[in-house]
Amino acid sequence: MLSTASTYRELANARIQGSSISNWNRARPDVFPSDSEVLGTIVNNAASRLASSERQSSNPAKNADTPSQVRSPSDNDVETKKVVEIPNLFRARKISGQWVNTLQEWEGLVVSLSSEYFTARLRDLTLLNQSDEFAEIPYAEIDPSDRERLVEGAIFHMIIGYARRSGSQRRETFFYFRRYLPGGTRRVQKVISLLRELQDDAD
Amino acid sequence: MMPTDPPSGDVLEICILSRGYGESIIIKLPERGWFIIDSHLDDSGSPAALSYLNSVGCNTEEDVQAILLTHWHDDHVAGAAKLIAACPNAVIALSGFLQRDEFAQFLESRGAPEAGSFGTGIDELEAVLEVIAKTKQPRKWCWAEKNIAVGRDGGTFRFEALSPSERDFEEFITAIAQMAVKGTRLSPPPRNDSSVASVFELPSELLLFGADLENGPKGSGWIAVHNAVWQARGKATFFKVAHHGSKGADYEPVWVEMLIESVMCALTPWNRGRKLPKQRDVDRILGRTKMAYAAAKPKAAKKPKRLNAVERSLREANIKLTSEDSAQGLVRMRKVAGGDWKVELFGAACHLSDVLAA
Repeated sequence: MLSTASTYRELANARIQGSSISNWNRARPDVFPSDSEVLGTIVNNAASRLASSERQSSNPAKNADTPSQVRSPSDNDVETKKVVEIPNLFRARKISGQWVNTLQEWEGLVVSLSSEYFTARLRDLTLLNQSDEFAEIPYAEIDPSDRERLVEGAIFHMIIGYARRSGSQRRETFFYFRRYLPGGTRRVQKVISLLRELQDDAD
Repeated sequence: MMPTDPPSGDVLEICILSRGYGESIIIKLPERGWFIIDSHLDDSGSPAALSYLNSVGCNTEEDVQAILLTHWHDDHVAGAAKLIAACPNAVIALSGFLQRDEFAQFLESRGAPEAGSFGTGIDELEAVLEVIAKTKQPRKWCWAEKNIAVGRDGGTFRFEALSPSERDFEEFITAIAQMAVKGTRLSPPPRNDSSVASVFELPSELLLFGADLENGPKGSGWIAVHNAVWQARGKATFFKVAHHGSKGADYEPVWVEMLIESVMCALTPWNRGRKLPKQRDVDRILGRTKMAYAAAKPKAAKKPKRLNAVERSLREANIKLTSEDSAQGLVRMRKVAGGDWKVELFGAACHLSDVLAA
């Protein structure tokens, strides 16, 4: 567990490499033993997946222009040299007027409402390559001011992270709902136009 | 996981593919081409039907004769545009409600806002229509008793829609009007009134595909199919059980009057909050026939790895997370004219009696 701000900064400032978390953990066996193992596994899995996707690619030059991907022709490069970016892990952001260091963030789509909880489809924004999950979230977790936005089809973010207040920090779960979803009219008109254009073919 | 052995020319083959969320069915008629009902994505992100057809050496550009998308739910249309693009000779059959003015009015009034990574809710529909417009593939907008494909040489086979009825459409349009909340993502309505059940009529076989069609008021759902559409066709030897085996899609006259005794049947599960089938659904179906199979299991394949701190926060907030994915599975059935069905199970597919086992 992260117990001090300095420990947290040490981890947060590290460039996350295929082997760097493991190395960091070996150097500091007293701190963060279990989470770092999980994180190391996640990072190595991410590296393997990226390397695998590159091996399948027939156009290395195109990949070279993609900044978020690992450019590595072999597994050895991934293990020893290359940097794996996990875009949102430990990202500091301001939520409801306080700074929060993100441990995990999901984008959620409200699918259905039950008597004591709502069901949402969640998409992981931290590790990006996980498959979607479904969540049952008690209404009690949602701020009363957001309840009116809690309808089927609503989009929200769920963030678990460390909030800093007055020099101390504590782990919290945050929800914020999108108040405005832009656009859609042009896409709808295009679909309607195509539907009218594509009439039935005679039997 | 995909088998690679193609069927010989005289074989009738039915494949039911699933991964807990998603359904694709492939039919190969004797001495004929291939037909596909619905689309979902496999582990590689490709349409599962396309992966199977490629693995058995099917030339999809030439040999796929028709693709039916039964209704516009994510578990039945994911990857449909890619599938259609790979089968440029196929007739494309879609639920007829999409072309009705009432649906266009609903879309115009409701809108389809951009909803982050979840898209607009009409992305796949737009992509499918764009592909069809580009390739100029033949279209069939399906209502009950609409022919989707017919044997060119005088009716050696007929692929026909059994639904939706006009009453189904009324039920559907009423339902979506009630759920129209502006400023949210356009999600498909949970109801299945627009679903296209279908039948293959062969010289010696009837094959019934139930899609997600459920029971409804008189004149709709399975009541309408049984009372008004099926008539004196006879009894089917195969049934793709409707709507993941749910009780709401079970109509006794279908089993008694439209299917042979001990009919060969298969279903795909629904790995969501209200998972399907339930044990009572399994018992009910096995009470009808023992020849019942499931293409996957309605349970998550594995739990994603997370930081312990994240797990603790989820527990403290009493937030329950379940993975979307189940393991992939395939039920494959083959027979020659006059012979018995040969059933093969691949991946997570199982006999229905095992579908809820750990």
